[in-house]
Amino acid sequence: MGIAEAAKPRQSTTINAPEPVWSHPYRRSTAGSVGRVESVSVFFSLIVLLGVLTFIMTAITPAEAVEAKSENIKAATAESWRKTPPTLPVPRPFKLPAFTTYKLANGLTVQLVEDHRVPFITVNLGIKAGSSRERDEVRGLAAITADMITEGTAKRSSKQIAEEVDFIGGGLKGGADLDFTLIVGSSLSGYAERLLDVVSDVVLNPSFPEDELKLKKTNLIQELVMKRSQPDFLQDERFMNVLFGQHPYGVIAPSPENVEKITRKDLQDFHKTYFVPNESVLVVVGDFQPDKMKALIEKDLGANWQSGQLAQLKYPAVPQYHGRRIYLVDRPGSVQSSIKLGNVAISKSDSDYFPLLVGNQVLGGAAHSRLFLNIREQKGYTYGAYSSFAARKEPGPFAAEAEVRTEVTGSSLQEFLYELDRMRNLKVTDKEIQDAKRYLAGSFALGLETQAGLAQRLLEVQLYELPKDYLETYTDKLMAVSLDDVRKAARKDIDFENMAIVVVGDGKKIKKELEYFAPVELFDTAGKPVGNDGAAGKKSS
Amino acid sequence: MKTKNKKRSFLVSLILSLGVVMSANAADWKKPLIPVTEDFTLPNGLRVVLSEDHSVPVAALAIVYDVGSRNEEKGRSGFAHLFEHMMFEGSENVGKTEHFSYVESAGGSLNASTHNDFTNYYEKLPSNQIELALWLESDRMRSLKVTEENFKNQLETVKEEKRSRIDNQPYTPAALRFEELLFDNWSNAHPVIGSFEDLEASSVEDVRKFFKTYYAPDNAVMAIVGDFDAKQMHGLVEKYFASIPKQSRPPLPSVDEPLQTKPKYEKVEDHHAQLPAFWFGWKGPGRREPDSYAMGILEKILSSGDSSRLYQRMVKGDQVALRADAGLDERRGPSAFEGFVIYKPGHSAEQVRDIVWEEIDKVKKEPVSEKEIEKAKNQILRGLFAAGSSSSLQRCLGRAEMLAEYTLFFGDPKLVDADLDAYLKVTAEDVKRVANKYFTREGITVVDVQPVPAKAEAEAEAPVLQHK
Repeated sequence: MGIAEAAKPRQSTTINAPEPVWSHPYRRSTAGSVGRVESVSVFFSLIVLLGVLTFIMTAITPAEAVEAKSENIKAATAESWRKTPPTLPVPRPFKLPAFTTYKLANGLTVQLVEDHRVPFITVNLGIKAGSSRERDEVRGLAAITADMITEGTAKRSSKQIAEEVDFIGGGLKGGADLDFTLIVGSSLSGYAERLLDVVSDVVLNPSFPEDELKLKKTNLIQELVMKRSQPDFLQDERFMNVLFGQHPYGVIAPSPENVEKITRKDLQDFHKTYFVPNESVLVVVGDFQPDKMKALIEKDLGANWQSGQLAQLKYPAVPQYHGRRIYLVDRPGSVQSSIKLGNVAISKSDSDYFPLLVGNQVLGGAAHSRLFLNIREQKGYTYGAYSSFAARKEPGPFAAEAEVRTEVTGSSLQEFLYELDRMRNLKVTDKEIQDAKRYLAGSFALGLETQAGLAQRLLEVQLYELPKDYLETYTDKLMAVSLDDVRKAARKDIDFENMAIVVVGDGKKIKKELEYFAPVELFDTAGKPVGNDGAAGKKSS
Repeated sequence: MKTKNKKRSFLVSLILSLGVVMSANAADWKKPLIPVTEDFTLPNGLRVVLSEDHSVPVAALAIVYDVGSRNEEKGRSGFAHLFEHMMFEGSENVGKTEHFSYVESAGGSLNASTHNDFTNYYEKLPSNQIELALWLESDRMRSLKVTEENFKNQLETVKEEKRSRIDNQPYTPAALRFEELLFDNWSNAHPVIGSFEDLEASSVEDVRKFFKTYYAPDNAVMAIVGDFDAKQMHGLVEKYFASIPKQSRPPLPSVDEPLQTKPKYEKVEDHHAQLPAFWFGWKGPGRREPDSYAMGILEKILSSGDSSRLYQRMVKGDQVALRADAGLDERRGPSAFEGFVIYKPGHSAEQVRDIVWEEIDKVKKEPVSEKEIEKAKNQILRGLFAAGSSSSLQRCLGRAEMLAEYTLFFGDPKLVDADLDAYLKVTAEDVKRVANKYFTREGITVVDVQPVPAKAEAEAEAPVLQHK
């Protein structure tokens, strides 16, 4: 691993995602899924492909419960103190780095954190408008708009932007998720002035050139076609669709037809309407001098940026279901079944957030959690079984999932149901809750090690409009969760009787087995319903 | 402000004295890039590097063993990786897979990876918990448990891993085949994952032998970076590791490569790929060889960022590709410079390859501008200072891994500074010379990936790759 190839991550399992872990419409949702392997790129990357050449042991291995008769390679010496793990000193009190918050005259909220460990600077701009603001006919517009801002401005071509960003040792990308648009920039700190200049140029004056848009659309359509060969895409598409119906959270990617229809005018309108400073937050973390940075921000994102009013967003209601349903996406020849079951759970500001965070950790947050220990370690059905929830502006999904061998599809589903039911009926143990809290507190602290990790947390508080002391009290709130809180949250947020179960797999081999669990609706890999056997639960909305 | 100015002027003089020409705008940084607080070797040969950093309450331990797939014997391909799995199967005082539960329950993360020329293990923890990592790593170094059941179990797991992460993925089987073809020496060429036949032919006895030969304290370097007291940590390292007996250090394998005199080519069918693609590449200079720095700069010029030449020409300009990347897979001994292009329907592989060659010929004939060289150097700095890269200095794990690797491979943890200087000294002339030396018509290896429709059911379960 030389310096020259430093940009190539070679570990595929990280808790600190290198760039902000932001839930993107084309990404798998990442909230609450610490410690999992995430596929975060819109398109698979060379990095991933090359990464396979050096082989990574990403996780432990399915194992039998049998405690094998063991034979030590070396005769153990008589160091009996080794028998138990070291007793550890109390954690050092965690202190959030000092930050300054202020507002510009145009309403832009600014947060600054000095970090002089490395000569580098990270700039995140969050805008409180995401794909939920799109009209149905132009699905994908928020993401394409965000992606296209770096493809040309009034004074720079796409290539000139790329040249400038690369020259300053930087990075600059726009993206949008369901609720927000996010622009992430960085550079060597000696070029802070040039970074702010190019960030403000793409945010304020994107020109969305016709030829660039045409290329973007062509390539995006190609990528969408490729995505359809991936079971996890098919699974998320169906899962979010059945959970959210007409609600904007119900669409994870636009159709090629949608993309075709999007015009330059759509991008210009979306930009003009939603890229307003009074609904945006700027977080700058890095090696800078505060007075100088404030002056730069005022010059580049203050004077020239006009505020505007956003209409109140009205979300359609999510469908209500009675009874469990199975949605089977038939993928003939599939050697595995991808199982995902869940329901609409909570929003980011819900008082259940911390109890559910802890409960989810006990259930399926990592390799020490129940689902993993049962379905992988004990049964050996899968390479990994997890649960997660994505708390968003509006209530997002709770889900448990695994990819299992085709032959054990039904047996795996049975184990999932057992574990979910157990969470609702019985208290978790003291050890489980302690382990879960320590894990979450540790991950939280570890995540703040990098500029990008810290910027992401600060932005989260601002965009979701969480209490001002949210980060300072995060660990306290975590530690205060009781066994009763966990069970209460599980009973409320895991809708056991009315779950949606999505399975992507070989229909011919698994449909009959699944019908013993609940009525099955069949879909093809194009996402279209096939035939009409098995009635779904009554829709009341 | 004052101290900052002082620091800058100090750095400027330091840099001038080293003969490094830097733009006035470029970032300044503290040297050494990774301060070493202690660097010592236990009587059993285990070398340990400690770096204190109290800026965040986090610590990371990285231990790198001098063994990889290149150390495998013919007929035992894949064994180094299979062995890495065995390292999670328990030791005298740690149960099977308990490494994960111990570390995760303490709020940390851990993993391991097997490479051609080394194998690494790491734990990253809240700093008060770092002793746990010493306990876990020392227990498996001194008393790994090997049972027939665990061994068979891991064998199956690795096979499952190969099926799901290689055979079932688009373009990946071709990537492995490409690397096999690119190198002539079996030690360099054979895939880390190995072959099913070889894995099945191995035994528990092989595991024991491998452990004794390679997993000895004198065949490893351990680095610990983060928020701890180095003196205290030194004591803990002695407590946990000093009683582990040393072995004789195994000989290094020969990794010599003959000069390639004829281009190599193969076509691979792929049932998962939707679009045609090809891998292309050349043998390259080994890590820290004199040419490796210019090659690193060349890699940035060709493929780092949206302004890089391959992206601008193939994805943006000619619009023939969805993806066009290249990278240097650096190793001790010969490296591989590897490129990958996914191209759009309506073009032939030959047409697209001609465009790649035009770009390659351009760096061979025309000197790169000063500005482009400086841009590439700034990308090198970005690799060190940005959060996202695995060698990011922002993360204590990145620092620990770099320290351990430099120390194990080259005997000196401070070489990260020397390497950065070497990159910053590369000239346009160096880049042109290196491009001509390595990117030859006769030295290239190409693997075309031909998508073929998935076969129904039974056949689809058979291996998807026909390259033999």
